[in-house]
Amino acid sequence: MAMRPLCTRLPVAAGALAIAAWGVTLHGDDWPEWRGKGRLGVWNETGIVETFPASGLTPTWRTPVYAGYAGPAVANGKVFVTDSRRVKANHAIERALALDERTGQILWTREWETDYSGLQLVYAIGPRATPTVDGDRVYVLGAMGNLLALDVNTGQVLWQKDYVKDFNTSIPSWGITGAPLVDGDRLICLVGGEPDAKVMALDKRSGAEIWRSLSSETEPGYNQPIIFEQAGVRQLIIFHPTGFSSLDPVTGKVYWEVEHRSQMGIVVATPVKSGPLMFFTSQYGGARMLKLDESKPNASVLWTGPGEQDPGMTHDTPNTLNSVISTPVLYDGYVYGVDNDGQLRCLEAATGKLIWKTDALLKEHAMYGTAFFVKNGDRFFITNDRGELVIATLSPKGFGEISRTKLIEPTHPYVRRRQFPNVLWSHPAYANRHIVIRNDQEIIRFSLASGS
Amino acid sequence: MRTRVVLAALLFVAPTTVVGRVLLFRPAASRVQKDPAYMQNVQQNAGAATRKVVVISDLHMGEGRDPSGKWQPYEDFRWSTEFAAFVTSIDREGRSVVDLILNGDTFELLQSANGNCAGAASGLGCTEAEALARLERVLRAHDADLKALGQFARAGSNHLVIVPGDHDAALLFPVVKRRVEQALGVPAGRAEVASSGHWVSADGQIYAEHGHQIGANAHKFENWPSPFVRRAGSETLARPWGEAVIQELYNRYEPRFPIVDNVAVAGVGVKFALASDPADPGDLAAPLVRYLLFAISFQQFRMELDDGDTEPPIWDVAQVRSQGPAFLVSSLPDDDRLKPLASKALGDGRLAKTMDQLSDDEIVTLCDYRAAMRRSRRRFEPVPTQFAPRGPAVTECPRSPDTRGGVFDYFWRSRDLTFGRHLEMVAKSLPARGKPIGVFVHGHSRLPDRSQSGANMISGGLLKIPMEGFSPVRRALTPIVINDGAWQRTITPVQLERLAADRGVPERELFSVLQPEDLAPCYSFVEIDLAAGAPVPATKYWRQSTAGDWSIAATCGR
Repeated sequence: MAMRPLCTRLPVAAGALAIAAWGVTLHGDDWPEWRGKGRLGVWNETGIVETFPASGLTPTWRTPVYAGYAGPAVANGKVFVTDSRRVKANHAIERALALDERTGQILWTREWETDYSGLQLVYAIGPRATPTVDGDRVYVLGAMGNLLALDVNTGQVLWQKDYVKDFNTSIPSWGITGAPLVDGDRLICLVGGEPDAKVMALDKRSGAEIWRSLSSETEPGYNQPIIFEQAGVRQLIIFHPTGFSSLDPVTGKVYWEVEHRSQMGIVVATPVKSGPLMFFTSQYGGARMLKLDESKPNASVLWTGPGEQDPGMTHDTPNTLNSVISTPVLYDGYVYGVDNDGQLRCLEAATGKLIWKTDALLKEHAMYGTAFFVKNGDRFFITNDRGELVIATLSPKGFGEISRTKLIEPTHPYVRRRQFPNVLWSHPAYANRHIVIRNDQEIIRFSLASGS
Repeated sequence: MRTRVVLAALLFVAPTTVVGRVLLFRPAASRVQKDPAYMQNVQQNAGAATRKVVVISDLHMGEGRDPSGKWQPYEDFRWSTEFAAFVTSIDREGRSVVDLILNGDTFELLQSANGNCAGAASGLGCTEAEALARLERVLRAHDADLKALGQFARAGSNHLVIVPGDHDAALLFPVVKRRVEQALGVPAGRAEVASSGHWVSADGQIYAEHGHQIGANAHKFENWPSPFVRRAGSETLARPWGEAVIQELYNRYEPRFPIVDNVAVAGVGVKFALASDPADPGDLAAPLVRYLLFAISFQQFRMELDDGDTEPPIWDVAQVRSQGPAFLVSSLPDDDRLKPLASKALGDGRLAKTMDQLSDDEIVTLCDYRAAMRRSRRRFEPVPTQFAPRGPAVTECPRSPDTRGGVFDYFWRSRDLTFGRHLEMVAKSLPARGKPIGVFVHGHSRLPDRSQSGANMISGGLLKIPMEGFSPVRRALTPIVINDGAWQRTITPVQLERLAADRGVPERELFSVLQPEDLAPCYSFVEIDLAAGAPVPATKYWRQSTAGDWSIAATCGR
């Protein structure tokens, strides 16, 4: 990942002050979209803490926000996030915010009205999708399919779409979640529109439709579009309730598809790739390891793991890895991830064989346990649904916890919580040697720089 | 169970809603309860807190075997041995302190191998004399079953009530009623036909009726419990429109497809017959499409996840009506066996008047059904009854502009409204006495209600309580409405499809060779426990194990 001088991203005055204060020119990474640049869950910055102080991390700032699952994005000295507040019954006002990355001061807000009727209300707390930043535009998406292209500096609406009105989308029970993906001039969106508009590419500058692809005979699911290159071809991967589709991101033409039907439309965890292997996991559908063709766009199933929808299976039956929300890690020949039962597991990537499993990450064995993994060098920074940040190594030898600290209170309501009444299901941003994390009451930034 | 009852008392909600007000009415004794002998019987057992109520329905005892010893094709009750064992079992388990309610269609008095009654040509049912003649043939064929029932009624303080249904509405003819009571051969007060058309327990907490009078059922009589019309100075049974349609088709198909009326939900077997023998039913096409569109089970839409806490949209009924009869056809998914006939009937104009016959409530019911069907198909949700989880979806009805957008998971609106209104009407019709209705049992549709752990929740989704049946008061635990299914061997469409796949034979072939005896030896009933003070119903099954033993079980194990 290319690094750019931090000073080029800050307003001149602030940048000059920062340089003066630090005395050296540091290099930092932004976090402009879901799971960071390229959606890979990789954070390349150096100079990061080895362990946390016993007294915990001190926030550099904290700013009140309303509710939402959407994680923050960080780019060009600004933090972007979305939230929501109920005003009457199911009527809500969703909002995009830009905050000064250094101070947490709110720079601008943009609000729009929405109505959560039709969502499963216990989870209808706000937007799900992480904002996507592309140069002078930030794309934000509400839970009911309100897509807005905003000026990063002013919050001015450049264009907007309503998935329901413009694309005839039926919003699924847990809302619209697919964060828009910028690819060249295109903004690729998981829309679930009809007819045949499960995924669409819009002109990122005007919102005009460029292409639409895949039938909406089934629900759109809750996944994130992602582009990988394989066999010298850039492939847009869509994990949806009918299976896996590889599309040409320029035209929407289908390269290959593997049918794999998942009940309830619950396909959440983002696909991960390592070499020719690509891994998909879901609660009901189970696990699938695909082997991608190395000479042309194509794929075959290498191994499968049963899901809860398979005969005789429940969430307690032995499986490989059935993640509900957590995106797993595919790294150095092994898969690491959190199963529906909250266990951290390690599988052999080539076979699906279980190498080890542990409750040490979440400290409890319970349904819908969730953690978000981000690789930094040879370590992983993991936030879990208890509001903790854990530094650890992951290897076939086991889970090696290095350090752990509590960052934020879990506040998302949850119907099957174990030890605590609430969870934290928001992915944080790692940018410029900081972590930025939110719950339903505040967004907080902590320094993760060595010696901080 | 005790926990549930306590919670029900603590957490009952929505008493101010239309449906909720049902609970505030105080039903009382029916004519049955006023019977002095019965009241004396009840009083004698007033201290027995273990009194049990068992409700079964839809036995359909017919005319038995033909002179050669073969079953008549219309005979559905071929289960005398296991029935006698069942009656003995519930008597033993209940220590002879049991109310056994035969909740309608005990006798098959509509369908006869000896031809129609004289009024059939003019759309009527049987006269009293004709019904009595049919009954005599049925009693002769089922002497053993009547003996088993009589023996039960004589034991301890047991009590037997026969509630008339749509197939044995003729029991409401005084002569027919007396003949059945005489055939049971038990002392007065121990067994009777409920000429009120329903049964209600002594304390008013349990109410049972067959179910054909609920809502806009196609089998509903105008003047229940007086389902008669006067012709030429005498009374003749009326004949509801749905009865005329479906009976005609059963008569036509049952000799060739013996399980046509063993498919749950009732009526749906005709779809399989149509798929196996696509002969056009002519003038019956339009009423059949209407009949089968509404022959749905709300149970199939039970929620698998959480409580269905979202509000349903407002369907744009005017826009639906503007679609004309094409709306009816579009309500059927492409793999519905009725679709070819419905499309043909639409094409040749036979459905032209059908939309005008539907009320707004019925259109809303269909729209709710379409939405549920669409959701289950778009999510591959396992559907327990009529449809396989995979297949084409249907489109939703148009919504009002401000309710567009979200899918929703509360498909129970039409069901709750239908049963809520009915319960309210029932409560009003009963003289004030005792406690409000806590349990309402019905049958008629063949498919019993099962535990719905996901469909009913309280306290905003934090506490999930498995519930038998359902409450038409949203998120409340009472009153409980529960379907006792049928004391029959039944099969659902999905089970039929699976069986054909397992055997590797075409569905058409399988459907024509299967006999009722080939279906799973399992009979549903509802048992109501009174030990906790408030009635607690449960769906149970009289089931034969693979070893051949009969016992009461919580599931059919199918």
